[in-house]
Amino acid sequence: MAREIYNLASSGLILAQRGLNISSRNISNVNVDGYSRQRLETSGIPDILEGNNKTGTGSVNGYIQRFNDNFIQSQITAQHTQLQSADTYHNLASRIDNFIADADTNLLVPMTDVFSAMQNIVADPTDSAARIDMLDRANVMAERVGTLNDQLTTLRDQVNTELASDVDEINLLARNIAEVNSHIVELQNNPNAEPPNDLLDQRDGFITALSEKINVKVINSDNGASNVFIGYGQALVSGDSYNRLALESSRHDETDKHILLIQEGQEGTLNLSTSLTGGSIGGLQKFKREVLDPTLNRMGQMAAGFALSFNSQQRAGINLDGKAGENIFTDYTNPANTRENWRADTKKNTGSATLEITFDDSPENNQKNLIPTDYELQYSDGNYTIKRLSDSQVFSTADETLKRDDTGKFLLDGLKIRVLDEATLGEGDSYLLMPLRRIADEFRIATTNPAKLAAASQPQREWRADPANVGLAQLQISFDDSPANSISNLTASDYDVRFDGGNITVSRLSDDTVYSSADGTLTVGEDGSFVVDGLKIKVANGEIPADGDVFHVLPPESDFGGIADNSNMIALSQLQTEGILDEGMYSFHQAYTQMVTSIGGKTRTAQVDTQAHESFLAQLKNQRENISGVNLDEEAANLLKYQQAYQASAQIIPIANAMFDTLLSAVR
Amino acid sequence: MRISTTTLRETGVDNMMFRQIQVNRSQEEMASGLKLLKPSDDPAAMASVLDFKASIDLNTRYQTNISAVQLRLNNEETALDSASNILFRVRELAVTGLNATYNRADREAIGREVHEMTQALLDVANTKNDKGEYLFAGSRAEIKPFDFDPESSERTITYRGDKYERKIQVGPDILMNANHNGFSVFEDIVTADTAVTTDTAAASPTPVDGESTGEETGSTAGDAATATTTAATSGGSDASSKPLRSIFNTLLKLEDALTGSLPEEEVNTIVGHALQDLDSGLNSISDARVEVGARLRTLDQQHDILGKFILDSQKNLSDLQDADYAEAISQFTLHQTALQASQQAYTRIQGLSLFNYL
Repeated sequence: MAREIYNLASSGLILAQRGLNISSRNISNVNVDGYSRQRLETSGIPDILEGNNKTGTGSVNGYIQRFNDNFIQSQITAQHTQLQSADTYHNLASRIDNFIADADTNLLVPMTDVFSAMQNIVADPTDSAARIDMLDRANVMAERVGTLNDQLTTLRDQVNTELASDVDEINLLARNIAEVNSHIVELQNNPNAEPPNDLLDQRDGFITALSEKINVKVINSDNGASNVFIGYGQALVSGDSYNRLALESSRHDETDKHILLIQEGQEGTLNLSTSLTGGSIGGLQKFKREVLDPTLNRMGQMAAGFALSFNSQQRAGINLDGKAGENIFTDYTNPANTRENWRADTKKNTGSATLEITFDDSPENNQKNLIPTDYELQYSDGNYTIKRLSDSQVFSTADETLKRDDTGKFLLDGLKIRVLDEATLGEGDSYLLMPLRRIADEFRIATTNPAKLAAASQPQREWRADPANVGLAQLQISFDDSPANSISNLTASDYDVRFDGGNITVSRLSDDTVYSSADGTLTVGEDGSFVVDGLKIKVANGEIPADGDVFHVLPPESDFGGIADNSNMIALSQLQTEGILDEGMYSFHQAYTQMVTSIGGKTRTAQVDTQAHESFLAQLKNQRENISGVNLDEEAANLLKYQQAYQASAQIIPIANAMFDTLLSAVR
Repeated sequence: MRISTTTLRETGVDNMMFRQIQVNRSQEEMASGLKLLKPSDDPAAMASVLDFKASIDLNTRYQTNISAVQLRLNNEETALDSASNILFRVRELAVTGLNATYNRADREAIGREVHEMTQALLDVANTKNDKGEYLFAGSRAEIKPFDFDPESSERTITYRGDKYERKIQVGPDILMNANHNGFSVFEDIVTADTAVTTDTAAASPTPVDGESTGEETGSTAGDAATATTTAATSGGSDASSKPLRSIFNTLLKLEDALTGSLPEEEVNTIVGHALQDLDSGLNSISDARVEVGARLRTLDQQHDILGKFILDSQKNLSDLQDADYAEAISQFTLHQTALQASQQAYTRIQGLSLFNYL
């Protein structure tokens, strides 16, 4: 009997001690994130049957229960992935959102200033202060383009840095999970060991951290190990082994990173870039694809469009020196200003041909045709194919959807693409064309001389063919734009142009001076043009004049072009509201506004997404806490409960002792 | 149902965070006076804000241009006013010169006054504006437009400007001429002197518009100037059919006739023609003045219209982006109260613990 009582007392004491122990542990972990509360579950040891008597043996059997709901845990993991993706995206997009329309940093203000300054020249073409002011403002605008572009390129670098650190972290977490897996399996399969509750919490923590980086799928196996899959079901952690991720530059563009899976014990790697969604990695990639690269291309399109349209209008005018206008902004038709806008496929290409992509400003192919996208050029079977990546439209020389000009350059979407060293092209060689990506970086003013602004229009001359002409040739007469020419070379005279036996004779009728290509007094250029008294004349329509055909160049209708002429500056100032981009659909202002709206919309969507996932996650966390979280009042009550149980159990021992003494003294 | 201590605490903290964000937002709104701070606040509204700003800017620019044009036209009006006064005086003198009772000496005196008047008119026609540009020189603003022709054997005044008239944009689709060229005002005058075939120097480059060529004609390909080809110079198609004489040369001829030694009959014929030409000249100047007046009126109207546009845009802009202070302040107070409430709730709840009683 006494033995039983002592056993009962000591088992009660031990149980109360364990209870106090567990409550204390719960209390000390009250603030630990992801801790699942534990509770002592007790059950009585079955009574012992002695003959017809049942004897209680005490409730010594206790095991530690961990409160955890796997379903909620997996939902939390999934929600973390989506939240982190939306949050990363939102954080980066709001960086652009903050400066793109801000009154102090946006592009519209300096751009409007340029046009305002031009109106001052319109009002006073001879006022050098107005001219200097306009160049100053154009310079400010060019600097602003550069600043905005820098901000965007910096973001691009940041995306890559963050990708790299995320990949490092994923690798670390994968290793940790595999390690914890092996301990859990070991402990769970050992019947004498306590359940590995803390390790399970730790693993849940690792998996949650992993899910913040990337979308994961977790499958628990019977032996207690968690297997983690990413992408389209590629194993990242399998039991106690794990694979590693690595970053690699894309084959075309070193600033474009791909994520590779290096599989343990297997040759080769697996490119996961397109299959990785969710988490900060998914957010980074989505941001780059949806916001950053389109914005960079759009900025490039605006910079190139601005420079090209200003330059060509400027060249159509006459500056204060009486000469044809020159470029006022960076000349994007010059390959020196469009460097590094393509990449060869470094992995696959066998040839060594290089490219030269410039911008065209011809009437058929110009800034209106620019599209903010990248392209892929491929050479195979003697044909060139260019694929526009924004809409996957393919242009090929095979079906003549890809046009080449006389010099062999491809003309597409306002671009001129030239393949240098064509002979060294390899079969199947491919190139990535990014004509607009870096172009805004080169945007600068090309002149600081206020007199170079061409406010005046070039004088126009009419002509008519002699009724007796046999040929169908038509003339084109323009102001000679060579630097040597100036409007002071122009005369008010009319001229006769005569084509005869391959020779051209021009007579100035005011004083009957004759210039002839026969005696070298008239020089005919390679393109068949010739210059007389500052006028450049050539046959425009490709017809060959018949022998004896005569053209009469009429006297000038008016002799504009003086320093007070503002008509070309009016034309320049009208570029403010003219549809210049996207096939004439958008003015610069509209294009910029459209970009702002698009960025604002995407940022807002990301913000709403983030908030939605945040509140989902908060609810889930509450649910988890309600099951797994520690409640201090509950633990205080438990402490009291076990304290009392301990005190009571302890009291049993003296009582049993007294009973035993009583019994002994009775028989004595 | 159970709740964990962490949940209890975090609910409180989350609540305070949420209120603080709202308080901060209200504070930003009140500090900046704007409710639209970033495109993401309302993308469509931000686009409209940018549009309205641009439109206000552009219209204000047009208003500035209107002031510039008005200044020029006022300058011109003053000059034209002086010119017509001068011509009226010359006309008086010419009428007096026809008086049969006047002898040669009297006529000479009249002729000398005509000489003075010619100089005065020359000064007026060579007026410069505040920028030092000759008002009536077309695009050759740096060249004195009317002067004696040193190469001519006769005493003639030639026009050395061109027929350009400066246009300035005063509305989205309105280009306003800011001046007349000297040719259209002083030179493009049909003379009654039928003996004269051509006189005015600037008449020579006038194209033969009346003559239909019927052949292919082309113009220089530069599309730059097409935007401004509306520059209808007042060369007039009748320039080729009727002889023109500059008003200056009419005055010179009048002076020569009055001071010269021609027989009285011839003098009377010349003075008679001169009288008719003076009337034509006065008409030409008066036409220009009427045009200037009409332009100034149009400009006034345009200025008012632009002003209304600007006002409307500013109102719309303000509706879109400006914070409503009454609302912002009441929102702020609301959020502030809510924040204080959640702070108090938090401290109270955190004070609750069974451990306090152990």
